[in-house]
Amino acid sequence: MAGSSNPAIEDAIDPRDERETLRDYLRALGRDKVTASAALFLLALLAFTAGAEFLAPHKPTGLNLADRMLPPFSTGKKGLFYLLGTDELGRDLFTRLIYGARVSVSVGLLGATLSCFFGVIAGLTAGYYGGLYEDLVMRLVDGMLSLPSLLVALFVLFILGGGFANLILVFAVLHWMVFARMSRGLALAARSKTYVVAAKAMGASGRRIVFRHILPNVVAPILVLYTLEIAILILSEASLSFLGFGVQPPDPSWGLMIADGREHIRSAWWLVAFPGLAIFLTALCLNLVASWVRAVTDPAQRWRWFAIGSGGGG
Amino acid sequence: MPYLLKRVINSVLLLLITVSFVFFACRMIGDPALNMLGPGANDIALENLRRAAGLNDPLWLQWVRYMGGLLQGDFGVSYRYGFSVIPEADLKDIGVPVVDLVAERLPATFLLAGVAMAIAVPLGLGMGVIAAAYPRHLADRLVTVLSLAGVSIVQFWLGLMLIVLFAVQLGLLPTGGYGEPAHVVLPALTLAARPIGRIAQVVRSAMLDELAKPYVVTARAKGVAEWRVILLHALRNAAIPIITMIGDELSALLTGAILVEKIFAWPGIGLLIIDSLSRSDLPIIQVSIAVVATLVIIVNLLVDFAYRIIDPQIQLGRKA
Repeated sequence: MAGSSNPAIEDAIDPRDERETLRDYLRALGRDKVTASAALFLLALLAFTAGAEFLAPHKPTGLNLADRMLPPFSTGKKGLFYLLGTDELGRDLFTRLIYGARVSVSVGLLGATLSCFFGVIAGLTAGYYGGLYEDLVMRLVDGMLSLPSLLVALFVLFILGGGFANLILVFAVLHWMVFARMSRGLALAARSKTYVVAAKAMGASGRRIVFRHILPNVVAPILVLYTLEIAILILSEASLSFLGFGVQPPDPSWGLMIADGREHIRSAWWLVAFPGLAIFLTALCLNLVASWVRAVTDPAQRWRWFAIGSGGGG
Repeated sequence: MPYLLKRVINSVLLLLITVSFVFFACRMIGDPALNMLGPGANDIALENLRRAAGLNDPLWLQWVRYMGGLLQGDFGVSYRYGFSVIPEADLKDIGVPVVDLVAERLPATFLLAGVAMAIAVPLGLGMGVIAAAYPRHLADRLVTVLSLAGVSIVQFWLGLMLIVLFAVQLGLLPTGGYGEPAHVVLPALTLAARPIGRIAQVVRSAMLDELAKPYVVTARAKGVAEWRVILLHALRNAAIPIITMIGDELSALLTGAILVEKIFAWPGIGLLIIDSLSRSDLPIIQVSIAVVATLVIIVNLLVDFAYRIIDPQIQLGRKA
């Protein structure tokens, strides 16, 4: 490419091997220890979420009044080991965290997926077609973005009632705008690119151009935003559930666990500390992975990640 | 000028839509008279209240009356505060005006938000500038880690942990309350954590962009002292993304205060919102949500105006 005299760089961004394979990405990930550990943490979290029944050391509802309020790393009366301690009913905190992850993570994933789906459709079509439709969509986006979303979520959940499904619905309605704004910008930029003009010249329909030509080319930035949005939604879920307007009691969620533990904060700090730590680590890992994806898929930066592997070196 | 005017009109429209949405949504959840008097109320009392409050009128008329009242500064009366007898005649004689309840709470929220921003802005600016001045040094890494941690942490959980550490274990500061300077320390620190991280991140990347530009090379070549290059040349040019971020964080802080006020029993508007939601005190909910939305919209508007003052080259209203 113009302006660069380093042969390694030229080589790495040669269009012939521009599309890295999954293996290249994994190798690049292996070189970045911090991001690799973050990705491993997220994988482990997913595994625990999916296989809670098999992987949890105790039963989530297993009351054991003899072993109430045990601190972390303690062994109960019957020789049972509690990694993170127990709560006021003698339930194992680690087990409850695993089951809580199921709720918190699926709220984050489903909420982000729905808002991404609607936001990307609205944004890409608005950016590609333009006109009055674009004006209407973007006015709605700007209007909704300038409202305080946590407060609106709180109010809507107060009206509709909390619970898993309502929470996801509210997140989808209040978070699609960020995706719409970003994809509109991407579609606007893509509209004048050669590949779009070529597709149009060949008679492709608008829908085909938007979803078969533009969308695959703008997946990377959307993926970054999607990852960040999962983190934001997990944090919001915790806040709303803590206030009693999110996930409702028999379902365990990390935010609810903090709310429950708050009553015992003077005597049993671990009941509040670990659920919050779980949220913190999950959000942190999502943020780390997002910034890695951003760096790796950025055309100006990607050679840093792949050049070494392909024998060049910088 | 037309642009600014258009922005203001848009904001007012948005506010009207929000207030109306809240009004109609509150009517959706059931009979307001029943909500006011509680499930045990008898039919005669309910009917009296409906007649007194005009609840038998068509909904649109009630909406017109409500909006008209808002314009005249009449925000309605609270159902819960000072409301012991069943109202027979005029509601306004018995209930506490909402406007008083909300106005009473605003100073506490402003104080909290002000102190939090007074901590966050200088710290975030300082950390970002240092990180950009020494890229890839230990300080830079530390700032990156801290700012990532700041955006990943659950604010109210941080507040609880600070209570455990400083109030319960060390006994240095009160667990909550209002009135003395010591009371503001923990809630303000809790609220400041996130903006510190976000501001530092934005300052760092904006400064790195600026420091790579030719005018910085020129300044250095002329022999301008490095601190002048960084603080007077680059920082000034990096101001726009920084101001945007500070504005964003200020509006996030106004809503974040809801949880923090709850944790620390800080008697601001956030605590009022939570309390009235759990008591279904609809008049207060309607007004306090409108007040917070107004504040957030005003902050957004001010940020837009600030652009124009900082950088006359920006032509507002043009699509990017």
